[in-house]
This record gives sequence, structure tokens and C-alpha cells, in this order.
Amino acid sequence: MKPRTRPLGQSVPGLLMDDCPERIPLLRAGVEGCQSDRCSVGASGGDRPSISVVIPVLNEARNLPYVFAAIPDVHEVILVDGHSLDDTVKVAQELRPGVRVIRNTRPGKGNGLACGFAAATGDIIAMFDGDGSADPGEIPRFVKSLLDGADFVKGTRFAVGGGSSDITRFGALLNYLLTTIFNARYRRRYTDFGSTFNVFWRRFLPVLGLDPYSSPRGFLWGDGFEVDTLIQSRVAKAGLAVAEVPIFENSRICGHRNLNALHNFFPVFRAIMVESWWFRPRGRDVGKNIQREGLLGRLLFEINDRLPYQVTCIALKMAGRKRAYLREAWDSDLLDEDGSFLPLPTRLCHVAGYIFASVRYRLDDVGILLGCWLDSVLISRNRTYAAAGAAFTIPAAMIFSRSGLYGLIANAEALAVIFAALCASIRRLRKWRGVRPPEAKKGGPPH
Amino acid sequence: MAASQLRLTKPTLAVLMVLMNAEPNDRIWGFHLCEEADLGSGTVYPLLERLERRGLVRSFWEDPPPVDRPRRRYYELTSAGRQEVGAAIAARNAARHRWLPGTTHGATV
Repeated sequence: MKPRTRPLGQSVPGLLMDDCPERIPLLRAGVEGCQSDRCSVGASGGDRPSISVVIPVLNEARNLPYVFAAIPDVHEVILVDGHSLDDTVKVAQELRPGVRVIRNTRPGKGNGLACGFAAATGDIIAMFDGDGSADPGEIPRFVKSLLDGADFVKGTRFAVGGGSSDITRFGALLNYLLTTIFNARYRRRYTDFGSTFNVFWRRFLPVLGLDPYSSPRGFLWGDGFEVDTLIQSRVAKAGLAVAEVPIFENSRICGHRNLNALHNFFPVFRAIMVESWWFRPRGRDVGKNIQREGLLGRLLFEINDRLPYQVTCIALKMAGRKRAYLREAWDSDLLDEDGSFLPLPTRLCHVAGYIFASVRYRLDDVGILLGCWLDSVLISRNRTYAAAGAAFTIPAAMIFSRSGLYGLIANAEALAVIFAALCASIRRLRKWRGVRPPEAKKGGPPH
Repeated sequence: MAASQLRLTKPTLAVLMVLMNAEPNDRIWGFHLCEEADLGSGTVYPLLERLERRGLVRSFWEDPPPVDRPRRRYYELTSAGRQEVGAAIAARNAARHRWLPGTTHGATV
């Protein structure tokens, strides 16, 4: 597995969206009807809420060992199998005998999640992808944030302590755009909206409105990959208190990515639009749960909280995989001793420097490559140069002077100057690079 | 493969002087270096990587890791680096003295 980031042990301060306006009363009533209240936390023994982990999978037999190994001590693990063709289920049962395996009722990740949620019995539901990109070891930090008062906790890759080894530069840019659209649409302050790693109280399941039962139509809105967008939209619309926790996204361990950035963009955009226009809450409460705030505040949030990390992420990608280790160092450079932000102008200048640094890193790499090539040329013996030089310059001189051998003799002076210049430049280059040709052997070739 | 001698450009010199003048217990990380040397992060980090590749500078993670922020990456001169930088600066000052006989302007660094 890739080297892991150190868990930060707590959620990002200041990102807890506690200032949400009151929730829709009707929804609230429905939600609280399904399970009593927060005192249900203690129902499963002690004051620790029980956790159900829901993992929708499709042909992930090779990634499951890594995922299962990292799952902390939880109440139950529910594996929702989308009728895999490989032995995913067998592998899962061997790895964790107590795992609950259920099957999709319709194809698609969204339906998998719906089925898993319906089957979950814990107080808290944790959902993430089964491809090894999410680290289940981060669940305790999510839970801590939930216990601190959040209703719904989502992972974010673009905050202090978060990151991704999977996303591309282009993907990061598209994600930035989509998050901005999402934030504008729902008046939210998310740093990364497309998170597939979410942890929430089970009593808020009705908010998501996912239907696990088979339908005569065969396919419902929310059965596919649009489910991640759909969950975020509905949670935002319901006005739940959402907190963000920085996560680190690994590359997929085995197999190809099922989604790429551009193929993902339009379905997700469509999902945002569909959710916000077609499935908007109706009645008198429309818009009540949407937070109004000034343009200035929003702009400040964008520049202060999101831009530096997006740019850092992009700069790291530009600097190449070799410098991925700098992620933490660069993140910590933006923070003070006690973890608070440095002044905004300082931070922006510093972050702009990262882009320049990444360009220079790349130029350095090119320079090293060229240097290696130059060294390999310079290490040749002098007579190699003489032979190569003669092979090129003598015919060239004969052709350009248009008078054959006679021209060569007539231009001997010029040729001598060129030869001397070449010798001198090679000597200078050798001195500069610290390279010298091997010593000529004395006394003829060995037998 | 290595360039024959250390080229003391102004940014290089500034960074190296900060590292040379640090107390043994001082920890120097990227941002600190930028502030002290009055250079941008875009100059300092590639420079540090180059020096590290030449073996003049060593870097290591903050230990133990702090709770409320990501770890810092600390940089320090290696002993070989200290010698080489000292020699390079001495050579540089000597070259300056040759051009400024009888003055002390060249010896300020």
C-alpha cells in the first residue's frame, strides 16, 4: 500500500457548519419519528454509538483484503454485492466471517447503498467505496466529529491534512468547478463536494430518500454513480449540520478507475441541476433552509479556505510523483505554530510560489536528463571526437566549397579554427561537468 | 554525476547562510527559510532539493508529529555540506579580495 498520511485526530476547526438555519420542521418530525433522539446513542451499550459500515462493491475481490484490514472495531460490516462476476463474496466471507453480505436489487452503486442502508442496524452509518481509495481507519475521526454535534460528516480531500494520490490535475480543476457550482446552488461552504466517504446518524436516512425495493421500471434516479451527488444535495437541502473531515484518497490498489474526470463531469453536473430543480422542496418552506449570505463573505470563503488548497494540490501534481512527500510540508507551511492560518496575503504568495516551484522541479528534471546525456557524450575519448568530427566536417567542407579536395586545402585555416574551438569547448564542458575521459591504455591491447 | 563546484548564486548563498547561522537546536522548515532568506517558496524548495541531491542538506520530518497541524519538514546542513559551503564561501571572499585590494567590502559575507 502507499505510505499513509498521519491521522490528524480531529476535524478541521471552523469547518463545522453549525450556523445552518433551522431545519424544515416537517422533515424534522419525520426524522425523529424513525428513531427517538440522540439518547439512542447509548442504546447499544455504554456511551459509544454502534457503527455500521456499508460498502457497495462490484468485482473488488483483489482490493477487499486491503479495505477489510483497515476497518476498525465496528458493530457490523455490510457488503453490498452488485452481482460480482469474480469471487468477491467468498473473499469477503473468508476475510471477515461476521460480514453481512446482501445483494443489489437493481444494478448500480446507488441501489447498493440504498440496500445497505436499509439493512444497517447501527446508530451511525459509514459509507465508502470498496476499491481501496478510502481508508476505513479514518472512521474514528468522522465519529468524533459526529459526537461533537454534526449530523452528517463528509470527507474532503482539499483541506489541511487531506489529499489524494488518485486525482489528476484536470480532475482537481473539474472538482473545483463542480464544488463551486454546488456551493453556489445550495449556499454551502464545502471544500470538496463529491466525497464518497460519508458518515452520518442513521436517523437521518429519510433525508436521503433512497428506495431499495425493486421497481417495475427497473431503474430509478439515484441508482448509478449520481448517488454521491444526490446524497450531498439532499443533505444540503435538508439543512443538516454538515462537518468536513480531511481524508487522504489512495490510488486504486488493483484494477482501473471506473470513472474518469471528464466522463464524470457531465453526469455530476446534471445530477446537481436535476436535484436542485426537479426535486426541490415544495410548499411554504421552500428556500427557508437555504442560507442567505453576502457576496463578499462567499468570496472571502472561496479565497481564504478553498483556493490555497486547490492550488497546492495542483502544484503537487505538477511537481510529479517524486515530490508527493512534500504535501504535508507544504500544508503545514500555511499554518502557524498552533494550527491557525497565516495571514491571507502571505499564504497566497506562498501558494503561488508552489506553482513556480513545481515548474522549476520539472525544469531541474529535464536539466538532469540533459546533463546525463551530455556526460555520456563527454566521457568519450578524444580520438572518438576527432574521428566523428572528421567524418562530418571534411565532406561538408568539400561540398560547401564546391571544389573538392582543393577546397579543403584552401579552407584549412578556417577548419583549424573550428577544430580548435571545438576542442576548447569540449574541454570547458568537461571541466564544468567534472567529467574526464578514461585514461588511454599504455602498451597496446591486452591479449 | 555532479557539477564540479558549488555555484554560489545569491539565492543559494542566502539559503545557505540561514542554514549555517542556525543554532544547533534550531529547527528550520521551508516557510521559516523563506522568511529568513527573504525568498519565495518557488525559489527555496527547488534549491533545497538541489542541495539535498548534492548531499549538502539533509531533511527529516517533525518528530513527534503535532496534533493540530500537518508535520513540518526540517532542513539542516550535513557536516560535509558545512565544510564544502565554508570552503566555497572562503574561496568566494578570496576572489573578491583580489579585486578589492586593501578594502574590507568583500569580506562582509
